[in-house]
Amino acid sequence: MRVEEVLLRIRRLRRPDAPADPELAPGLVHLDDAAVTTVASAGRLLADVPAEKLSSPDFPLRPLRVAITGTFTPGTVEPLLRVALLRIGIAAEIHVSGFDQLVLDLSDPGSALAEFRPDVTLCLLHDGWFLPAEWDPGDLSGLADTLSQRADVLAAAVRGYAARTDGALLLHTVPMSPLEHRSLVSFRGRAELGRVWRELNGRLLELGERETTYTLDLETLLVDHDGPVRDERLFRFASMAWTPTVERRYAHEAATFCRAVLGRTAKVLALDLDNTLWAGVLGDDGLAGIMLGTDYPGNCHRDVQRRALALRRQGVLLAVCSKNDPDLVTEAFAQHPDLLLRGDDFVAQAVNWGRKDDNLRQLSRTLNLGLDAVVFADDSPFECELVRHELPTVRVVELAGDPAGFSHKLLAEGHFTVLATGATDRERTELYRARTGRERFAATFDSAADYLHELKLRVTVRPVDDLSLPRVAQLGLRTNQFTMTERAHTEAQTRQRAASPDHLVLTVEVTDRFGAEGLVGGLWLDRSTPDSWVIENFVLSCRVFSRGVEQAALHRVAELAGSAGATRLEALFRPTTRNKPGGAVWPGAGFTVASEQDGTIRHVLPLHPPPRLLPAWIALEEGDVRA
Amino acid sequence: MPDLFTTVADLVEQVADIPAAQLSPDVRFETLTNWTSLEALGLLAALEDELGVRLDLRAYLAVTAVGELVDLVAGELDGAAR
Repeated sequence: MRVEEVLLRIRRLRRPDAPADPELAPGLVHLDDAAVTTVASAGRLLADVPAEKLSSPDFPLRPLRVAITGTFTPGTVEPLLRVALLRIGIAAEIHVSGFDQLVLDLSDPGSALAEFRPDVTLCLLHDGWFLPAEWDPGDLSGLADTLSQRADVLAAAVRGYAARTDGALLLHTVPMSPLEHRSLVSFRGRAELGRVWRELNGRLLELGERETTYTLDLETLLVDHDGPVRDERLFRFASMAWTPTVERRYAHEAATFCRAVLGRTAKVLALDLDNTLWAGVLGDDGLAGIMLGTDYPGNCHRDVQRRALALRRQGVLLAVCSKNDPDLVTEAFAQHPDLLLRGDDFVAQAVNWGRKDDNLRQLSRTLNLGLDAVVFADDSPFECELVRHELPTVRVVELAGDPAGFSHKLLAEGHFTVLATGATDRERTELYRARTGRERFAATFDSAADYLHELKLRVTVRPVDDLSLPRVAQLGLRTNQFTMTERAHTEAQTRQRAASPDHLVLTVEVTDRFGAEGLVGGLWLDRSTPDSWVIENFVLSCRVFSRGVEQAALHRVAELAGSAGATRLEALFRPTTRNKPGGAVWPGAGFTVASEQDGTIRHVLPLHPPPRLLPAWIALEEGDVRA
Repeated sequence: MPDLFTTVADLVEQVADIPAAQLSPDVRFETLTNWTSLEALGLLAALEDELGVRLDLRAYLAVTAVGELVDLVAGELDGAAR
């Protein structure tokens, strides 16, 4: 869904006779990268849309009463907050107070805000409310006293309000304008002002330690915010203390707080392994080849582990969801010196070659937790899209781009944010491990055909050329899982075969709607016996497993052999410790075992009638093949 | 790139939910339904975001009609280009 489509759908929904649009609320994530103006206008338009037109069984909306009040003009936060809340499944009724109503709102039991009876009260604060208009830079201890008195006024109002109401209240730490800092000429004075100001923020944080009052550490969250906290023009003209982008950041955090108030926190983090917890592919690169040490990029993946471990220690359940060899993974968690996470840190490990959506379903059943409590983190756009499509309630974290940003992506959304943690949270992993036992997750391979159709997979099989030869030879040598032998062809042997009329070396390329995967496989064929072509080796990158690509490639090989007059295809398979996934292709494609000799299994497939191996969701593109 | 009037009209539509088709250079902002200083400031932020300009608030607040605003922004874009 594009930004324009989101806006269009909102406008459509506002018509009184418009039917419900269950895709819109989850679709609001597509505004994440839009300009803040666009989000604000979406929020204003959504104010008129009744919640029942947005709610659906896959994305149920919870009602919540939210009040916004502040020491400045807080109104412009409302539309951004509305979007931020709907985006995570909360249909809020929002009450907004006018300029600087905060103390009145909280102190007066008859205030409009009090009568609104909010579940959550958001208190927006700015430095100018605490700082006197004139203060003497020569008397910073006097300033400290004044700030402390202002904090007392706020504290009294907050306590009184908290005592009268049962809703939650959110304060925040307040960034001080650098103008104040620069108003002092001495370094010592500036440092002292900084300390005095932090004491105020310390008070605000303390206020959030009891009863139903909480404090968001906004000062910290604004450290990586792009741009100034306030626009001096808007501040002077309209008492707006935050720029729109700061409002947006606040709205996101406030929405996360609201979700925590509702207890809609995720409980499980299901993690991919290859290129997520470490750099590289365990099955291909081996235990010594994966990177997760102290150097880039391994240290980025190690940091992901560190963050996951921190989550585990606070009560989040960790699970593995990876296409891998389970024995290799067990070995890695037991032996790799740089892994921070160990087998015991996970409540369950779904390590197999099956579909990840099936594994997540099984995980949620085993743990007896809803799919909406599951966060799934994976670097593969394919897997992420599959899970989004098949399991819309699972929260997907796509670890795309530079791994240096992975930890941020994992935590920025605040999926696991709760109001407070307790002693039992530390024990939770043990508790659930007992429940899941040592169950191994069974792989299921039934196809998600409708999803695969949407992928628009195109597979091209063509003879190797000068450009692709080094790459396919390399792929053959470094592939350990989907390969038919441990003695792959060297580059020289591949070159020799490519030039020989008795042989054929084919490359396999894949493109889908996410873009080109590039060269993902190769086939080495011996056609010296015209009646019977022999597949000496077939390698495929594990990136494209379980999509029918191998079947499509074999379909093309059967076509080529058939049109050259061959009556059958033969395929060699030499089992190693790791190439089980490769060997599974032959029975899957209808080959039968003809003989076994010296550790090599010879499979056969008759070409009459021509075998139909091409999956319906794949378009096979022809490359030129010499006869 | 759409002409400046279209850009401004589209942003007015976004900020105040007034169909862009109803706007012309002669339309005065104060005659628009629900046009308050909040919408005016929203439009300022939107214009600056979209066009990468920064307007003098005094000059901006002195604007009364859509056409004047287009001229003001054009002048600013011109100045920035020079």
